[in-house]
Amino acid sequence: MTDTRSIFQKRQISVILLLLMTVFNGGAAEFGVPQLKTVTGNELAQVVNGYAGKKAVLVNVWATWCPPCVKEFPDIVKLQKSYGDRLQVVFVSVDFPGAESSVIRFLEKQGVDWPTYMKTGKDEPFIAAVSAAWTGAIPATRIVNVSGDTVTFLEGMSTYEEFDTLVRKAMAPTAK
Amino acid sequence: MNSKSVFLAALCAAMTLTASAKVADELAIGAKAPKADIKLTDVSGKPVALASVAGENGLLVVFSCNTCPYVVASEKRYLAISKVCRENKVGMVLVNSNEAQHDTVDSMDAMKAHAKKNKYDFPYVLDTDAVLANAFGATRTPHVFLLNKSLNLVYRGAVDDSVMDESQVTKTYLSDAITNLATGKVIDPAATKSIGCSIKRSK
Repeated sequence: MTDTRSIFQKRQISVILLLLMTVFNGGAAEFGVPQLKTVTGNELAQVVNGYAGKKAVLVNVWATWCPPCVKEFPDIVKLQKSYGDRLQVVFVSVDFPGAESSVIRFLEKQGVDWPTYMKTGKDEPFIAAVSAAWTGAIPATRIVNVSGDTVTFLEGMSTYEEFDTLVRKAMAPTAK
Repeated sequence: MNSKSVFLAALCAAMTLTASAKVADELAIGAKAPKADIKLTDVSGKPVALASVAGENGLLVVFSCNTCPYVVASEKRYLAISKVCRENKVGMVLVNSNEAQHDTVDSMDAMKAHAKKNKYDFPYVLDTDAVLANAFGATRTPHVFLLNKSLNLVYRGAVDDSVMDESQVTKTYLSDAITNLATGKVIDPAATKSIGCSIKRSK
């Protein structure tokens, strides 16, 4: 009984420490699994450019309270699980500051165990970094080929089949 | 080609046009407001057309809804914007085009309750089948369109540069555009962007 209570108390302390890290770590909030980091538009561009010549990239902007985002989310996770050696999915949550724990719970449920991001800073530079074609509505998805060129930008929800076709094209060695 | 073939060809062409024209591109700066005379039902129960709400100097159309967190975060600013509109003789109307949610969280009853709770002092109308949103090319909530007295678009986009957090606002785009419209000054920028909830259209 005492041991059980002790374990429970330790877990409580861990959760509190985790939340305190989120609150006080400001622009560099980072977690274990799933990993969640804050990102500005410029930083997102660096993340995406970092995969040029290595992998295709699918950037998806979403939020836990956005029904179409939540609906398409498992399909995008499936793409990462299927093509992880040739594709990197970069999720960016636009949930409000303070919603980090909700975001992490959602990511855990979805089986996301790779670095994931949460937008910080003003909207306009972030929108510009994602795509000039983006009006600002979510969900939004940008697909970049292995050469680092954007092949598609999608505003609104898409199906697995639509994503799969576009991602296969982006992963092809000579994709343009 | 017999008459039956001509009819079928015309029908196919009409269906193609209808499908491809469902959602227009965002209204261009300088373009005339579409569908300005169609009547939409206000939370007061009265039919309202954009043209009838316009003030002496123009009209502000805000695509909005009841539940989007971006709307909720910026909603307190609606009343301040409404005051700026009145002071500058510009009409204001909120439009709910979330047709996929018009039977649930964005129903007329829910809109009435929302308008009352938030003390709206401007019309809040139901855009059945998202006709107005499709014609304006509105994509999200909130998404604002400011029209001059001839109902030509002079500003489009965001309320300000920090929808999420009012304390971080440094550029009051919409408020500035309204005062510049009324005083005949150049509106710059004429188009801005902000993140918002997609308008929930029925597929």
